Amino acid sequence: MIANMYMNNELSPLAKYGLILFILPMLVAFLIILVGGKNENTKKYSKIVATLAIGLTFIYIVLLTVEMMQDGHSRTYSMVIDWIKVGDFSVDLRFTFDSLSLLMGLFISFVAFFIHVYSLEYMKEDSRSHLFFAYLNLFCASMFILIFSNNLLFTFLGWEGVGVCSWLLISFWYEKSFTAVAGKKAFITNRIADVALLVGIFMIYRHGSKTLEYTSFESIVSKISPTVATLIALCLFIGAMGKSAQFPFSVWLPDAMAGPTPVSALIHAATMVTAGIYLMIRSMPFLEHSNFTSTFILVIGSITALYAAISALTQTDIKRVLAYSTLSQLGIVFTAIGVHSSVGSIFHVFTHAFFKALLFLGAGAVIHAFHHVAHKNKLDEQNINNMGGLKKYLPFTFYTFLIGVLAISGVFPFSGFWSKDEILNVLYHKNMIVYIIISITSFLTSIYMMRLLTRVFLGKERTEINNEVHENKFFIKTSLLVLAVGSVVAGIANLPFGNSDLISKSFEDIAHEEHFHFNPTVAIVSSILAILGLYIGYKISIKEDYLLNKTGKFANAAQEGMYVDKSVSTVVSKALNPFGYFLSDKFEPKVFDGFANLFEKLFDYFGAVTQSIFKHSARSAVLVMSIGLVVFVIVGLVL
Amino acid sequence: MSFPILEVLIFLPVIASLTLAALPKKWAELVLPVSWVASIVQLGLSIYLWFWANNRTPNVNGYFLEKNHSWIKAIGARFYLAVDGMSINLVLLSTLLTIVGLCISQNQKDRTKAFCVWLFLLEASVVAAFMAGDIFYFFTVFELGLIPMFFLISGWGHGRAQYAATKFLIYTMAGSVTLLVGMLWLSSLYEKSVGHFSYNVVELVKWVNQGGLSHANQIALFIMFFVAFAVKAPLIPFHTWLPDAHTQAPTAGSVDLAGLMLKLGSFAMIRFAYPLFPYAAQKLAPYVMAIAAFGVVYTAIISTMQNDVKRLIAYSSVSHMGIIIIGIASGTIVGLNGAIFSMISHGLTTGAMFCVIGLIYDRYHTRNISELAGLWITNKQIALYFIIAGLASIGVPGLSGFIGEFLSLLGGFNTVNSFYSNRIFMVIGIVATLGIIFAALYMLWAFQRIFSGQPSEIVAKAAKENPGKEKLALYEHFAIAPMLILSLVLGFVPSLILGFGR
Repeated sequence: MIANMYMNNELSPLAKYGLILFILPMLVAFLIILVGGKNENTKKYSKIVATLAIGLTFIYIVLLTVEMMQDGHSRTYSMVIDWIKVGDFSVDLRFTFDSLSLLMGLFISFVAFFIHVYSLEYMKEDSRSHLFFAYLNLFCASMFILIFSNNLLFTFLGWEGVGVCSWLLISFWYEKSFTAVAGKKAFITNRIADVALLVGIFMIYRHGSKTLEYTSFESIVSKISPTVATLIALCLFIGAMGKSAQFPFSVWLPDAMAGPTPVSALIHAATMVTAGIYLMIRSMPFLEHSNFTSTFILVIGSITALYAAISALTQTDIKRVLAYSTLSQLGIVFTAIGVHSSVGSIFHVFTHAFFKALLFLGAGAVIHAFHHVAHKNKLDEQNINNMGGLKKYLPFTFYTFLIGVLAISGVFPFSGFWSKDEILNVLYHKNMIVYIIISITSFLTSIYMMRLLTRVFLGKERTEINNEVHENKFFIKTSLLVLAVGSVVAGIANLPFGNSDLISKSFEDIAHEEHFHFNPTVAIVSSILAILGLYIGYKISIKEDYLLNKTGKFANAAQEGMYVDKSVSTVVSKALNPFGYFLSDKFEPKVFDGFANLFEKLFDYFGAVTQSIFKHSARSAVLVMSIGLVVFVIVGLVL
Repeated sequence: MSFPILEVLIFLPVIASLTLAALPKKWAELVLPVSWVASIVQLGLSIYLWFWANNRTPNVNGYFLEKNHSWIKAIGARFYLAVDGMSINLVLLSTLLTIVGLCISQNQKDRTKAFCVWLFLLEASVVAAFMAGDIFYFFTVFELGLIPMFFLISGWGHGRAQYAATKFLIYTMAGSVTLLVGMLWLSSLYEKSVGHFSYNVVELVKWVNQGGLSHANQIALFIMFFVAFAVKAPLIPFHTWLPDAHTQAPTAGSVDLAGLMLKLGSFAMIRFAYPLFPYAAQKLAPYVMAIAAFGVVYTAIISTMQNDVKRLIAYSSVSHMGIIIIGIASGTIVGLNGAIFSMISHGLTTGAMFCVIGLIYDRYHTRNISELAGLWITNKQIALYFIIAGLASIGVPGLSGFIGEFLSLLGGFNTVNSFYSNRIFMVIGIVATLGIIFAALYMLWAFQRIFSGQPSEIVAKAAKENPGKEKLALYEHFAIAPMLILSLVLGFVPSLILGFGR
């Protein structure tokens, strides 16, 4: 309905051609895949073009945002391209620009651009790195579709698109088969959740939205029963659980770390995994009418936050610590969704994108620098217990990483403090139990992050380094610096004083939610927990890895990710595999094909009779038969 | 249109085939040029037909073009051609896939002439069938089409080709028996009440809608028609001829079998079974859809377990046809259009998939997943084609497979039925949707095992013995790329097919 308010001629040119945001990176990606690999020069230019393309999209989104702020519109649209129109079903290819999609677009394109820049250096030695950039661009195109689309089905296109890119990028080093296995696992886990999402779409169509536009959700909700609203919300949430790796769909994310580190930073920390949260904010009307689903989300979010934080405590792979930390942070955001706080969740997603990307890129910088030494000593280049004392060699990386650690731990005044405080504040007012769980989670977060920092950078050198670890070059440093600045200041997007709560203000038209004033108790408690956690984290890991070595069974359980992955894969291999074999090796040939072979026996008998007449093979019998048919047709024509 | 385009589309391949058959041995080098000219002209004609119909509205019967010639007067069968949007798109698909078949068989040096003769006869019969408005005539051309397919499989197939071809022939012919009996019965009922025999679907539908057929008869006749078409589609439990036929057929045979022959079943359901017996269609909808939904998941699981890639794709075809039947049986405009869209899309993506498997087989002489590995390293082009065709096939949006699958399932989920509660269909819709999980599983798992990791012994050996052979020849690109490009285009502009409306 609202879509019709802005006729095409009223659209500003910038918004009107907004679809360029996905078309440009997509074309660049196709171009690179088709011709980028010709020779060294094309490979080099491919990477630069891909990086510039994302830079341009960032500028475009900035201009759009500025224009919208000046015009005072809360929502503009791009031009419409018909997509699927059949019967009463009518879905367009169209972008919506409102505060939610623009905010997401801003940080996605910003982080993506600097990850491109970082990759220029990081992936330099890979002969296929031009393809890497093509996939990254394709990913960005899909991500823009996902967030800017004005309807659920076009979003689903982006949704599956990011899934495919994630699969391609996790399996980027396909020479090692485990990367391909991890990629496949991610895709299939997501597909399971996608079934629920599709069913949700079917139900929304059934209950009145023939266009599947987000703006129509409000009006549907008023017409449906609470049961239907619950079912729809549940379906959409299960869909979101896949992409945002919530328990038990979380199993794919730690394995996804098999991909190159910039991919982990961009896709599996900052952007793609937030898609589920985006979807939930868009479907807030359904959630608000479903207490059951809201509670369910709170439960799942709390479980994920806590179990992942515990698992992160004893991981030894630098990237797996961060992966579990991502799971945990996403769980925290989902608890905010569970209490219908769009502002809290989007704010934390926003700040998280900066500091988690920074942490991953920092980890990548460490791996990149440490790779040589590890290789020489035949050690695992990602194991934090092989590292130690790297601060001396990588001071720049250390300080930026430290900023990331402080930000994620929620230390005042880093960005993580403000966004986490927003969530804790809402929880404090609405659900005490979850508030306590999330506070514990935050406390654990400071511990494992400090342990990570200490094991990598501080203490003794556990591997002889002989000055062979060097600080990375310009592109990597630049990206780290920019993201570090972002991690410090991103909190200003929504400071809880005076008129500086920009996100809350701009979200007023999307979410009509209760707003809670800054609560000193919550802030002080969380600050104390953060500092205490950091201190404990330092103490228990500076001399030796206490948590890993001295806690016995707990360490094992945590390292196995609380056995979530193991139990899921056991169920799959113990139950589904034999079932599949039973169907394909026993049931199919005995029952269905047996049925067919009955026919064959019958025809064998007739065949024997005919053969005794023709004394020839089946082929000549067919020939005779065909001549008969042709004669029959001709006779028919003559008659 | 005064130009008899429909007749030409049917008889041009027949003439081409006869000409080729009559070519003396010493002019063997003319075989390919003649085939190319004939098939390109044929493609041109069907493209012309597509554009011609594109900006027209169909007549009262829903057809863009009708041609009603007399045929066997004694029994009332007529040579009645009627084309709607579905026919036009399927005819275009047929002529396109014939060229693909010809193209991918360029290095097929074995009895080229006979191969092309059968290929054209096959094309003629499917094109003729896709225009059928007369049941008797459809029956005849369908049965005629089995013969070239039989010879393509048995003459140029691999392994147990003879067995597979015979099974294919006998099974589908046996299936047609119920159609034969059913249509004779229907026609005699019509004769009793109207006074003359007819197989003309327009006349029959009008008669049925005026209450000419009792409900009991409708149900009996619907089952007879439906079983015959379900064998061709194929729908479980009548599918077991397909994996054998597909696996043993030559690449071009598989492409045309999956792309065209399978569509005859669903085409005939849409054209004949559903409009003729609307009461029975509604009454039996939950059973049909439940079987189809079970089949979608069941065959997808079976697919997952296959070691032979071609067999894997064959089973996946059965799974896709299940979704198509759900769309048809839903009785909704959305579902029906989804089914038609899927028919085209499946022809393109599965065609491309079989071509890709053909490329692998040509190079490594095996289709066993367990013997292949690391192809991504040795052969990036094949990997790229496999990825795109695979993603299109499992219904990733942006490619054509998604649109058809989504609309069919959407229709199935929202089936409107005057006899049963909606809940049944919702459950059926959800079960069928589960198929997409297994679809991702069989496709990605196969891809991972064939393409990732280090090259297997066979692959490494082939790469060492024939360096440079991994690169695709130009004709191989020409065969595959157009199908995939079309699939991408249709994924974003589905109105090219949906626009014909229904």
